[in-house]
Amino acid sequence: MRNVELHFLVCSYFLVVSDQRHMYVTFTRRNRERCSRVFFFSSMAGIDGEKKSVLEMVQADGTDEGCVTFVLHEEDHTLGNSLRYMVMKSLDVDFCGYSITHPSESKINFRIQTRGGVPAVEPLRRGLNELSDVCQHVLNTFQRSVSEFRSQQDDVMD
Amino acid sequence: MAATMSNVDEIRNRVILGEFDIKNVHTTDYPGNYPGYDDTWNLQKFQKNFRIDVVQMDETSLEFDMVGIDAALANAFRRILLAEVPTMAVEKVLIYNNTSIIQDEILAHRLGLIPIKADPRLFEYRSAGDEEGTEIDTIQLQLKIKCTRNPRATKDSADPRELYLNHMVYSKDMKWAPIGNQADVFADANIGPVHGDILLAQLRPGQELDIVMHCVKGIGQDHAKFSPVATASYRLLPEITLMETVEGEKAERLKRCFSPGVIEVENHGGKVVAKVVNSRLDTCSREVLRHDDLKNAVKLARVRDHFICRYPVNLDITMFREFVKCTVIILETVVN
Repeated sequence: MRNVELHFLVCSYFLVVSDQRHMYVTFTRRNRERCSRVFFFSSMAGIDGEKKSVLEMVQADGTDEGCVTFVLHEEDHTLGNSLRYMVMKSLDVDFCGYSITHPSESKINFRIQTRGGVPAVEPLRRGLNELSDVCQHVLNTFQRSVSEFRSQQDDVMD
Repeated sequence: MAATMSNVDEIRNRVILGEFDIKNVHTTDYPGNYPGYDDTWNLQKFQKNFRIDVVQMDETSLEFDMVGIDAALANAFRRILLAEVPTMAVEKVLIYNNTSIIQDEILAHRLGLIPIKADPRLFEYRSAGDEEGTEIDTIQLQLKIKCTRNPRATKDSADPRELYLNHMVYSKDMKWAPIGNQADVFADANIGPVHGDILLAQLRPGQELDIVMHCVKGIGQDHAKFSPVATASYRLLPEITLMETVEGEKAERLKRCFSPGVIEVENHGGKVVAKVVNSRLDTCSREVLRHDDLKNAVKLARVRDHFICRYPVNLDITMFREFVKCTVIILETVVN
């Protein structure tokens, strides 16, 4: 997994739109459970598994790092809306929105504009981490409530 | 009961149902919108306010309340339940003999839609391009049935149930054929269709079906047959406040404007007065706003962060833990 981290950091040096050069983070999205294993292989040996870019950054010429549009592939409102909510909740975000370019293409344009010169990658990364914390907490609460409910039902039956 | 919230709290926390429109629909509590409120994301505050109350849980459905979460997240959970929680379903149907009146493709389509009782966590996804399937990613089911005339039927009966044997093919006739080491691994799990009474086809004497089915793991995004829920829905908790006392004949009419059980009419010192008993049961039809004399007496609203979720499901309820795990998985993959 560490290879991934480096890759991401390296290619967070945004690309000028006019050039259209992209760097790809190799990823196999299909088999989520095997994700870490397959990823490791393809990054090590450069084997062409299913190379699909998951995240691209597009930034206008001349502006600073704070206004960036991320193109997230294979995503839709499920992640878009919930991530938008988490990013909007952070203090240094001026504008955050997402749009689906066309319903037949499964990709979203996710735009973040920050204030105070903060690079836009930071609220994005923070939003993702916070979202995963929320989901973990919801899962724990749900499991607790379900087992409480079950034990209540057993008490009633006894 | 007649006390109203301050305006700002109302905008932040309630969706107001008016006669011609619905107000305060969108979430507005982002940092900077309201002076004096600290709306920055705070995990501790969220954890303190968030709770889940399971209302009803049985073999076929789950209903629970999620309080303290935003619509964006509640909707994301609903979408994941519908589209991204994996299940097993029939994918390949090998028809060796089909002399029934149901065409091959129709029968195959029907077989695909039958929910299969197998825990998808114990199986892998089938790798792309693999035609045969191995024991870790495929369940094999067999349907072999032949309709014959019943020798013991009376001469002049016209009832097909008496005249023919095996003339109705139900899903309980689908038998599991374990491949490889599945017989040992899944010895105690009875793999097969969830419901045995789904009618697949009707036969007459001489017609038979000889079919082998391969079930694979998939998600609802690929085909709706893989969706574990019948339908996943949620609604906001309704809140009905009486702005003035309503008595006498108006109270009776008010009671009829809402779903049964929401408003009760009580006797207070000789006068009949209306009281809100259980606003959760209301379907928010806003019927009361059609009556000019009643519409100012009542304020209809919905609590913005209280979601009543109902998920009727085809499989075992414990799969529900999976949905949130899926969210976390999906997020972790994107984060990495």
